[in-house]
Amino acid sequence: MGKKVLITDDTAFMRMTLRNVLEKNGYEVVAEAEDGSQAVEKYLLVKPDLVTMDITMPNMDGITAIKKIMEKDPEARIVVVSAMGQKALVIEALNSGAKDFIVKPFQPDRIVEALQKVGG
Amino acid sequence: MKDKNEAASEVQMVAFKLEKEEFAVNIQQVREVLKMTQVTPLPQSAYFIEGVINLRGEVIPVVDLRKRFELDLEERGEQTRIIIVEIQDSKVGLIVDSVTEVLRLSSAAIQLPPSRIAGTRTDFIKGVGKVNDRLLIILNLDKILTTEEKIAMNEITLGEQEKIEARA
Amino acid sequence: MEEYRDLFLAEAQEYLQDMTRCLLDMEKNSNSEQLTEMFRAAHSLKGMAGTMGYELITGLTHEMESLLDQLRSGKAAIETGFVNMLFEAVDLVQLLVDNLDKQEDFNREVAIMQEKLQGWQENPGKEVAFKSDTLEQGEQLQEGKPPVRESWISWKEIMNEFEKEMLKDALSRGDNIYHVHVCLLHGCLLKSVRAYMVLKAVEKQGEVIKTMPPLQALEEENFDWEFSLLLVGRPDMEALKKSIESIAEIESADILPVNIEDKPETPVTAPLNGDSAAAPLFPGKVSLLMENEEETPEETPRALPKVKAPSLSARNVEKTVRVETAKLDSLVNLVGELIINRTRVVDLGKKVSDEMLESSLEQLERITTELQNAVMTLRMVPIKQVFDRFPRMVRDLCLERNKEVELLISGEDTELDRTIVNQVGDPLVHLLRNAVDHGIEEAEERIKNGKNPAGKIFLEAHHEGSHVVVSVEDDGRGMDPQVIKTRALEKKIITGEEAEKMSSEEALRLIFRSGFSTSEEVTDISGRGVGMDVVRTAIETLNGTVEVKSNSGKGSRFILRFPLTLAIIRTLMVQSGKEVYAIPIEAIRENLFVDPQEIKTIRQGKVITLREEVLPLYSLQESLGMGQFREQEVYPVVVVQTGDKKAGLIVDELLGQQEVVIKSLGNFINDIKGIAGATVLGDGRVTLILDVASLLDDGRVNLGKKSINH
Repeated sequence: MGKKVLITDDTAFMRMTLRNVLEKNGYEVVAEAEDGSQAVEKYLLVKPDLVTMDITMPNMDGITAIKKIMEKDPEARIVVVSAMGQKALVIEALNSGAKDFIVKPFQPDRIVEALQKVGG
Repeated sequence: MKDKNEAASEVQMVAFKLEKEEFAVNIQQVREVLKMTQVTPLPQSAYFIEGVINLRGEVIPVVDLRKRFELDLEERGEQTRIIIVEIQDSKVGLIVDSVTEVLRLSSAAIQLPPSRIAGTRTDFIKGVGKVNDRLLIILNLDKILTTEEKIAMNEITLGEQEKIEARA
Repeated sequence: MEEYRDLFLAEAQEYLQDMTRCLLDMEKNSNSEQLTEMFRAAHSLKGMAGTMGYELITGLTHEMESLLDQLRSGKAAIETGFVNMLFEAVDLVQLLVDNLDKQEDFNREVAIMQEKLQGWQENPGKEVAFKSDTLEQGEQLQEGKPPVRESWISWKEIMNEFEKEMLKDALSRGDNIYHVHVCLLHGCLLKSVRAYMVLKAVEKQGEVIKTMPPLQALEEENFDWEFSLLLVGRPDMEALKKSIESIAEIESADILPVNIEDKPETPVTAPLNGDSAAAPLFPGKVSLLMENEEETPEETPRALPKVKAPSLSARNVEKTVRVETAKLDSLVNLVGELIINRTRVVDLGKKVSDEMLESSLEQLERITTELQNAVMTLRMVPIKQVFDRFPRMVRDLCLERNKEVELLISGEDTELDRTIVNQVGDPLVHLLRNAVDHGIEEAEERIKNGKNPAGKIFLEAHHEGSHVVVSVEDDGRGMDPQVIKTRALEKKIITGEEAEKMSSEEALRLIFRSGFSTSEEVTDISGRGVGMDVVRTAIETLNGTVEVKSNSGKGSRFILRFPLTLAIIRTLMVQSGKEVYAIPIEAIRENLFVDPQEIKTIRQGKVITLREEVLPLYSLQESLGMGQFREQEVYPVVVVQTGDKKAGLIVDELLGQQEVVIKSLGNFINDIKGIAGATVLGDGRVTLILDVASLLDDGRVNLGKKSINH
């Protein structure tokens, strides 16, 4: 069985793209979250091996969600999915506990590389 | 009037009204003109200080010129304006009855204040400008606003006789 | 060149202060540490001046350096004469630094001084060993014959003095030097963040001295797919390589130890600014040289400004950043504006009551608050900057007055707002001078009174809540309240009646009245007092207070209190009549709701008993002269305190706490008793900030008393 992934993004399109890429590469997408607070909730529920986290989302942004998840599980492996030009936010996310990041629009092999490096 | 640009021969002035008299200040000293706005009263300050206003985040004291010249206080109306002037590197607002216009005065049309007239304080007046039949009193704002002494209206205006002389 | 010059000036001042401090220490009890430190300061100054082309400074500091080095290796006792000579030299360097444009005016002075210094070296007062082989490894290399190399990677060419110094330090600690080369996957995005992650990973294992291309270029993504780091430490090379390569989009990381003496086996060229895809950065051993400064006259200043890319460095790649104070001030102002606007937006948001908006606003509030705190700490500097000049001043003063005084300083690391630090110097100079001149007695007098012939002055600083307290205390003759009263009577500052009623504390405070002390003759009687009113005014301008305590015959103590920062304060908003006022939280002890029946009248003033303490009450509205006191069913009371004065202010309503940016009322408005400044509220209205100290000050309290009994 592949590693369990929780996808967090507020756009359905991005979630779908990510799901396709990941599933093609042997990952199991166990849950999708549309915002930060859902991500925190679902993280605790499904205990995924990896999380992809969008930064700009309604209700709760990705950085807050990262902090909350890290609080609950310091071992969490979160990869930030950022848009271009969000340098400062990416750095904040990394400092908040995210393990790595990928930039939208992404190349499928780069996502897989990042997840592999983070997930071991 | 002694002006640096005497040779340039023309000065721009902002003219405003107080009671029935018309005054003017050099436009170089004027930063902007505002409609009457909310003024926060300043306790324990000089009697003519109306208070302070917020000008884009800057706190600026405002002087009511009617109070300054001991005039009766009238209801403020649509025409009431605050002229923001700069005095000794700080901004001060002046509440006036109305701002009439911005005009150009040629140096030739400006006379020194009449010096020997009873009542008129020449140190408060820089000069008298003549536009057609109107007489504009050009105030020495630095002096007027930085002295604590009381100034009565008749000290900064001309008597009837002087007016006739000035128009001549 | 201008910016280098500013930087040069700033750093030179620091080195000069270091040297002065070392000399003062040396005088007390010399040890090799001070010599080494002073040697370093002279050396660094020499290097800087050389780079900038200030030949006189270079020459002079060179002589100082050689002399110090000689001393360092020998065992010469350090005498006052010697220290004085070095003081002279330091003064001359200061003069040169202060007059960078008129160097040639000092040709003669410098020549004489150099001769003096040389003379001492050739003919030292005591036995001095002529050996200079105790230099550290790095310096040895520097002074030794530089091996000449050509085209391979030359970290040293792009290193400045500071970085070289760091390397030397590292070597002396037994650390090793490594060259870390990192390749990114082609086409990777946000390269700067990748570089940041690499730096962070590397810095867990050591210290990054420099990067190539420089940090700024890394931050601005001004490079292709590779970059290099110079690392010192004792990393586990294998683990480090792994940790870097485990970062996404890192193609490879290679780590090579750098041996300073070894020649590289293969020449390596490095791209300096990123146009490098072709240049093989690698492989081969990398060498690093520390050569004479003159080899790199142009590179060094380029590397000098430290104002660059601070955010990229995960850990002190650059330990300090110099920023123009004007820029800092404008940043503080902008943050102030931002806070005001935030408040406005948050207020608007509350009206809309939209959940999403609310959470975004919460975030905005959090971030701006953090920003505000961060910016405020930028303005904080240690008071050391001011204290540092006092030992020298007191020393000179003592020599002049033929007195023996020991200045004991503590708490010099206490930080406070830059504006306060800049302005607190003069009043302190005054107080210290007075302490030496008038506080401390002549030696004979001290002996007669059973005191140690050497006087002591304690200069101390510490934090107390959101205030900084600075005190100047001496063990001199102290002040006699009775003498002060008599003097004040003669000067007609007080009436006989007032004098009679006056407590000793109040009598002591008379020295702060203007007109009390203007001439020497007065101060000899009071024991103190040249221009004490000036001192008080200076302190009050900074929103500070000054207090004096004295014990006749035993000494005096002046206690200065300043707010930590002048720009933003927490306040309690209160409604009083038609107006809203902001009361600084610092001054507030508690809020009460007082039942009219609890209020008693004592000596025509209203008071309540609060926990067995009698607390006077004043109507805020009346105290400010803004209207009549109105009867209410219950009175909201704000209990305020400054110094030992405490009172309750009756207001109409307590509106809640708010942080406000203090704005001045402008030069046009003179100090208004009771008002510290103004602020602009969220809705654009101007609100006045109360100055509790002056409100409770004699005049105001009386007014309140009178009016409350109408």
